[in-house]
Amino acid sequence: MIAAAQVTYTAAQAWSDLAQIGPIVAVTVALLVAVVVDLLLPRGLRGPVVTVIAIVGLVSALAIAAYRLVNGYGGPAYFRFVSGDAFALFFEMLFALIGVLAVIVSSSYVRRRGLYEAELQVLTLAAIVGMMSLAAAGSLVTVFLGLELLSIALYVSCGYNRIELPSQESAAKYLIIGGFASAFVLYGMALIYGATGTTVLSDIATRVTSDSAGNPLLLLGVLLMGVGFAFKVSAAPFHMWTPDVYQGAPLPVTAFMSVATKAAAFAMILRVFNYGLGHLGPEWQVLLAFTAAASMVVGNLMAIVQASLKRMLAYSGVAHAGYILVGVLAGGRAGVAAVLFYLFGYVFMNFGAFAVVSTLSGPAGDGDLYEDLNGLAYRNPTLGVLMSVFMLSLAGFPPMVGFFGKVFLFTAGISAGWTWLVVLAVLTSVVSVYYYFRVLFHVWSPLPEAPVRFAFGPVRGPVTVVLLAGVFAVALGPLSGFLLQVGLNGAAPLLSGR
Amino acid sequence: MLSDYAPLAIYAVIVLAVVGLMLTLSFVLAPVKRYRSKLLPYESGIVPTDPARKRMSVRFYLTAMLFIIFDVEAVFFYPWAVILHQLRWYGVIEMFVFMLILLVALAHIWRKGGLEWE
Amino acid sequence: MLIRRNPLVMLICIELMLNAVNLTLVAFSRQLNNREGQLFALMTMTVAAAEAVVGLAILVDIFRVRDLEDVDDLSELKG
Repeated sequence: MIAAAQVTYTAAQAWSDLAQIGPIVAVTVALLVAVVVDLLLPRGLRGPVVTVIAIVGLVSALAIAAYRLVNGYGGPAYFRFVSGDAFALFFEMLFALIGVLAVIVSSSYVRRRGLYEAELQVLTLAAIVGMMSLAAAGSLVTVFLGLELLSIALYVSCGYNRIELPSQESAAKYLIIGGFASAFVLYGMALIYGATGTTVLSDIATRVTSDSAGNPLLLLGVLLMGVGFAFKVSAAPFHMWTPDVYQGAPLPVTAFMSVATKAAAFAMILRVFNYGLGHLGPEWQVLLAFTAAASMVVGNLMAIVQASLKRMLAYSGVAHAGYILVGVLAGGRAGVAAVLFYLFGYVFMNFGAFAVVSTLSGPAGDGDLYEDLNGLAYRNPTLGVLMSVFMLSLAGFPPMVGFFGKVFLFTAGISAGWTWLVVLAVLTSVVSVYYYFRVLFHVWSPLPEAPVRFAFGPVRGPVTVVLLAGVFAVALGPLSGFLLQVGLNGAAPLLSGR
Repeated sequence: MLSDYAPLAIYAVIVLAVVGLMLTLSFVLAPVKRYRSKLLPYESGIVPTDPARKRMSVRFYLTAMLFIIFDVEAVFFYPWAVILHQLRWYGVIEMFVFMLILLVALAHIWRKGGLEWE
Repeated sequence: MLIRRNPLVMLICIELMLNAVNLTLVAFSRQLNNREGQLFALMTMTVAAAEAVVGLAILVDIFRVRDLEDVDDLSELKG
């Protein structure tokens, strides 16, 4: 029989464990307070107050994470099931930042579309708790819980516009495909648990050596998890859900989902594959190299033929997942740091682009065709200029953060010997210039004669967000040295002990 | 490595064979008499008044969903109860935090009208 | 799972897959004499319940707007 292990858990240990997950606790508390406030306040006040609570919670999470990162606190907690190391803190800061931006954008969006405000913010907070737990996970159990928490919150957010069929269809598709992917990941985890006898990632890292490559359980587990992860980062050939879901979901949800889920899923891949299963590199690299190549080709080619901005950005997201996978494949200090750097930059440029599109929506619906952007630079110069910045950054033009991100990723890829993949990546990013410039063409085209489909409503919130994102996207270019240092710092916990 | 699983494979084959054999035998050998009271759902039981496959009100789904959620959460109380003595006060506090979160969820459902039948 | 077209049945299939995982986890836990697998199985159970409930809620919501028997009917979004 299984003998009961003695647990000694002291007050000091309890406090230090709680401090390790400080940012997660902050967001969770904000979530609970928001739910209660939503029930108690009069109807008119609920939305704004919940939004403020969400922002306060996220900013305090950001502050806690920054404080702990600067002071170099961090280490395992809760019997190594969670870790508050620099890698986790990096992602926690990232998610808190995206969260603030998302909350502001959705607050304005739901008002213009006449939806209920408070619950969307609560769902966003729940998704952020899931993402943070994913980044901080020290065990397969925590990885799975974080993954499901973020997925389930996003399923509901996707269907948030309950009276519109596209929104519901997007939710149903995301739910069924997401559930399928989760089951795959979970089965992979179960097999790896069976092969190693532990779910704690640091133990897996020591027990799985390069001799384990012949173990069929382990290999099957890696294969299943790889497929599931590819679904989650929307890498080809498992990307089919992405455009449909992105197009149907309410715009702020799409914006949030496109960047945050991707960052969280890459945090998970780095934790599980680069750290936990680092010695099985040759096995999972074959799988990921194939998906990376497929994502870059499929994403970029399909993005060209799209008529909807949301779908175009969805396919561009598939392509970017391919670029980031190059960094994952390269591994090592340079590779992981490049991935963190790129994710940080990508989050702001892509979120900014979606936030610009979200200002085009009114009570009638979302304006997501290229034509809706016509003359944007003259209708609202700030938005027009910033949209151009985001597009140039996504295309990877020099002063922008996207350029530096690609440089770091591709140099890491070449020095790790993935030359063919890098060549493919460069070629496909040349193709991508075409569809990003098509957006620029519409933004800077003269004002249309016919009245525009979507006039601007009260969009001060999103404009602030777009400005913020734009400032980040531009400023991170010159600051890339600093950010790379932060990334290297964040990469360190994954590489120690090897 | 794979040969370790050979007994399992043999076991699976035997199980399939036995089950298949039993099903086919009962299908082939059993006498079949089809008349009205034999075909009723409950032979020599209650006489059904209307078909079982009728549309259910969506309210049943709602109640069932809410029940499932809270029912399954209770599973965490069992392992907690087993080691409560070792966890001492931290365990008690932790579980109260957990219950508080569940209570918030319950309050949310209540106020939003999820518990109302009509 | 892949050959079924009814969304409700697909949801049930996902639950079946999760149950299969649970069985695997518990079996490994027993074989390895290690309790982490049981813990994992408990977590999976709750998550599966949550997923099923959210899935049912979303589908019921769709049924309210329109009658739907086949996932191929969900084709509003194409490009």
